[in-house]
Amino acid sequence: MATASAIVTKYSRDDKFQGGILVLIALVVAVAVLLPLFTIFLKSVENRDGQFVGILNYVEYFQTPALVASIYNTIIIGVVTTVIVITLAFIYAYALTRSCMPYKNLFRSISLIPLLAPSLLPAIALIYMFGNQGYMKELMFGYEIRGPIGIVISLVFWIFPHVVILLSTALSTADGRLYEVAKVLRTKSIRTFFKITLPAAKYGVMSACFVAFLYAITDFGACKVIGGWFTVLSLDIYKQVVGQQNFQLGSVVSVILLLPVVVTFIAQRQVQRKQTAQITPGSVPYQPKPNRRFDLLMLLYCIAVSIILFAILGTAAYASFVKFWPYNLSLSLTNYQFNLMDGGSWQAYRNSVVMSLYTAFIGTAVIFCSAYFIEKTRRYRGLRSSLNFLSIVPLATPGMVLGLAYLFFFNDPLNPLNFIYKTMIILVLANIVHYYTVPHLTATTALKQLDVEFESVSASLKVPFYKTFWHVTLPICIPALSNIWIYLFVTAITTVSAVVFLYGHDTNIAAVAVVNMDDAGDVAPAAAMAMMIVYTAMGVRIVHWLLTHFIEKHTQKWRQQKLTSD
Amino acid sequence: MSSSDSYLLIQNLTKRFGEFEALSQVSLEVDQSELICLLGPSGCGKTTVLRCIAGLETPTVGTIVQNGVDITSLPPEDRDFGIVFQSYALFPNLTVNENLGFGLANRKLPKQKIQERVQQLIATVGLEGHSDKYPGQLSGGQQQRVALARALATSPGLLLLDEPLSALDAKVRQRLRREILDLQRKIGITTVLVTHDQEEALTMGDRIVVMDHGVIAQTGTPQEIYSNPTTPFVANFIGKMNFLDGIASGNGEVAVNQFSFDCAQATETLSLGDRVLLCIRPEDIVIYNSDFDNNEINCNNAIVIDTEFLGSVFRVRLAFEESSSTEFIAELPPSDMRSLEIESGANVSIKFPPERLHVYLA
Ligand SMILES: Nc1ncnc2c1ncn2[C@@H]1O[C@H](COP(=O)(O)OP(=O)(O)O)[C@@H](O)[C@H]1O
Ligand SMILES: [Mg+2]
Repeated sequence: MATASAIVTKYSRDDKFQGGILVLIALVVAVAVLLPLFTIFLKSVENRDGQFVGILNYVEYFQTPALVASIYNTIIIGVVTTVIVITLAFIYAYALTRSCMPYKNLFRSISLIPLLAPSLLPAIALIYMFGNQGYMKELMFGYEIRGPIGIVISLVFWIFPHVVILLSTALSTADGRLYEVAKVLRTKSIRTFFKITLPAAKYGVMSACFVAFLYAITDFGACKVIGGWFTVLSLDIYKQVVGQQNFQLGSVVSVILLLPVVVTFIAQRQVQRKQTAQITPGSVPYQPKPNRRFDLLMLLYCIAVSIILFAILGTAAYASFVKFWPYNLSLSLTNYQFNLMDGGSWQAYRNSVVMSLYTAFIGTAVIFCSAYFIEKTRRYRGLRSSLNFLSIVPLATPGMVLGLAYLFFFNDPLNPLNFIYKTMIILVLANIVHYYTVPHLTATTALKQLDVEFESVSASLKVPFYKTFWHVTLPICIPALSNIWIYLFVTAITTVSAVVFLYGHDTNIAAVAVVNMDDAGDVAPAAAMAMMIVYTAMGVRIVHWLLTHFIEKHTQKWRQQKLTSD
Repeated sequence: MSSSDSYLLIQNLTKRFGEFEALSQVSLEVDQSELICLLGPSGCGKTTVLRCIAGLETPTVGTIVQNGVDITSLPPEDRDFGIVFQSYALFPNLTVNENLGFGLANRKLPKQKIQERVQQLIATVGLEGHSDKYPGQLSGGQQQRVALARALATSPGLLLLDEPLSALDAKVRQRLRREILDLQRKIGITTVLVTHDQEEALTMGDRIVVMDHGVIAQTGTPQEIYSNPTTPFVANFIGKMNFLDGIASGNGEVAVNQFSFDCAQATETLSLGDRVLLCIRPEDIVIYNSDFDNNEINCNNAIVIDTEFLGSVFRVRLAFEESSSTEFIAELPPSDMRSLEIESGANVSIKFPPERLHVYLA
């Protein structure tokens, strides 16, 4: 039989349903990511009246030395922060993975504490420690904390946990067999470190460097609070847009900030790919052996780092309770009376909590479901792989750029979605989009671990895919869902960059209130609000941890293996 | 065999993945209640055939007819089959009971009917007492049985098994072969079983389809395939086979070194001077004492190079003459070994029975 035309399998009900959902996801991606980002480029080549002016705005930008200086400043901040944080975090991660020091889990948890704070917090704390009235200002030897020094220290504090996580992973995937061989050959430990440890962790370290650099050059909070006279690109975006209402120049700066970000991002993806390719199936995990002197040294190091982390956090906490620093150090709750402050209110705090809860719940559902459709649908290969690629875009989009893009796109009176501007909806949307990528990867990884044939089995049993999703896929992925939820909650409540252009009078949020109170000179109330964020993030994290344990105990019984032999 | 009464009919199935042709022109018929084995080395396209039958892959060219209906372009949901994957793909968070009831719950049957059917399935595969366990708590063999029962739960017309036993150890595998076979005979379900294990195919298949690089090399009953392999690939893949280089010397004779063998009964038509492979299975070679009358047909002197004890048989390595590069292997029971006093260096006579010879063009 000569079949000239290609065989096309008929579309089943499941196929049509899944196709519809994928198209819907594509539409949402277009509206929530692609079109807004496109508007930024558009604005950067228009004048105030919306007429196309080509590269005129860029010319203006490069003829303003004060603005161009920020490019250099941003890169310097990025490089210096990266070098310092990688060094500190590498030793810390080395202690966690390669020593036999006690309390490893405790130190691992301590290193994660900065994740619970906005980057504004270390900046505020540093002003209390090393500012004009700081209790340790002598240590500055006359240098000014407001400026690059303060920015770098704040960023090191804030980026530290991210890098520790990455480096611990890189160091713990070492192949134990190599170390056995080295020992048999009586290789000196220094030589082992440079010949085995470093090469094996090379890509992990490079990847961590790029991530640190990315975070450092896109940060807004720390630079805003402690930048002083020093300007960086993200701060320029804010100043142009909020201070001078110069949207055109704001978008030019955004595009310029995007350049190093995208380059770094691509480099990071390349390196990461090499890193994963390095882990071979036969690898045996490395087991550190006790070594008293080395372990003690590592322990002391971790204690020292922990003290610094606690000192920064503690200073902010203490300052928030002090009546009038440094003249009246008696404790009170005056600074927590946000309703009396310019730019802050308890309403803002409540908004933050509500926004973060919405972000966590809706985000978890949306991200997991779309990861499911992208990963587990049988057909529409092209659409699925494009969506998978697009899910990476948010990670390469700085919060300031995304926020500005949303401002342009949704504030346009011609946009039918204009009504969401300055509402809770746009805040939640911006947060979900801004933090989309990491949960998407978490969900995809979890889904990839499921047997690829679950869907085929269901089809053969004529069970619609959504039943299998509900009864099998979802329950198995509860741990991943739980991780995604807490990630989204904590990032949403601590973030400031994406939402600083989007909040309205009734939808002010805590992190923005910190910026505004600090701007108005109410530094202590700003510290108090920042601490409210930390308390909340910490409290929710603890409750989440307890709940997770409870839920896993009751829904994940099947994970306990009790193999009977044949 | 006429195509009208076969339950599953595959014609000219071709599947390309981009440039790579995984299946070329595969045609196959499976009768009602027959168990057919797709046998071939890893990567030859067995799973792809199975997935095309299931609708999990769309063929590039070809037709598939099941029970008189052209299903070539139907999605898996609209086909009628049960499948057991190599990984079993059991739902790990559901108990044995729930796994088996999974496809039934969707049939709008009353709860009690479902439970009855599940109990029946559990009894059929002998998993009484395990119904509330999770797959992770079962042994490999038990998991395999759950997967089989789940595939049979909705009483499909066709059962597809993809290397169902390959994850199990040898003892369990032997037992389960028997069990699957008995079950298949009892229910009478048409079955396609994929395996790369020739022993499994020989013991289980009503018929065997040997595949090689995406094409069917031979189809036939286990005996046919074993005793009359039509290509050197099949001859080599199933059982053991001696391959001797020879040249056709006319009159249906093949010369190996300077010895001539009558191959008139082998199927290949030869013309003078053709380069051929002369093949014979080790157990088909007959060995006599060296004082045997060498004038009998296809008899020759040979020298024993060495012997190897394998338990129930001896393997004897032989050559036509000392330091000849043409070696071959014979297998014979220990009793023959003793009566013939075979040992390294011994001179013997061997016979290649004409009806046991296979000749292929090289
Ligand atoms: N989805 C696919 N894409 C590309 N190549 C494939 C795909 N599935 C199978 N193949 C290729 O087709 C050939 C046959 O595969 P398969 O049917 O799985 O072999 P078998 O089951 O006999 O081991 C292999 O070379 C395999 O790499
Ligand atoms: Mg296979």
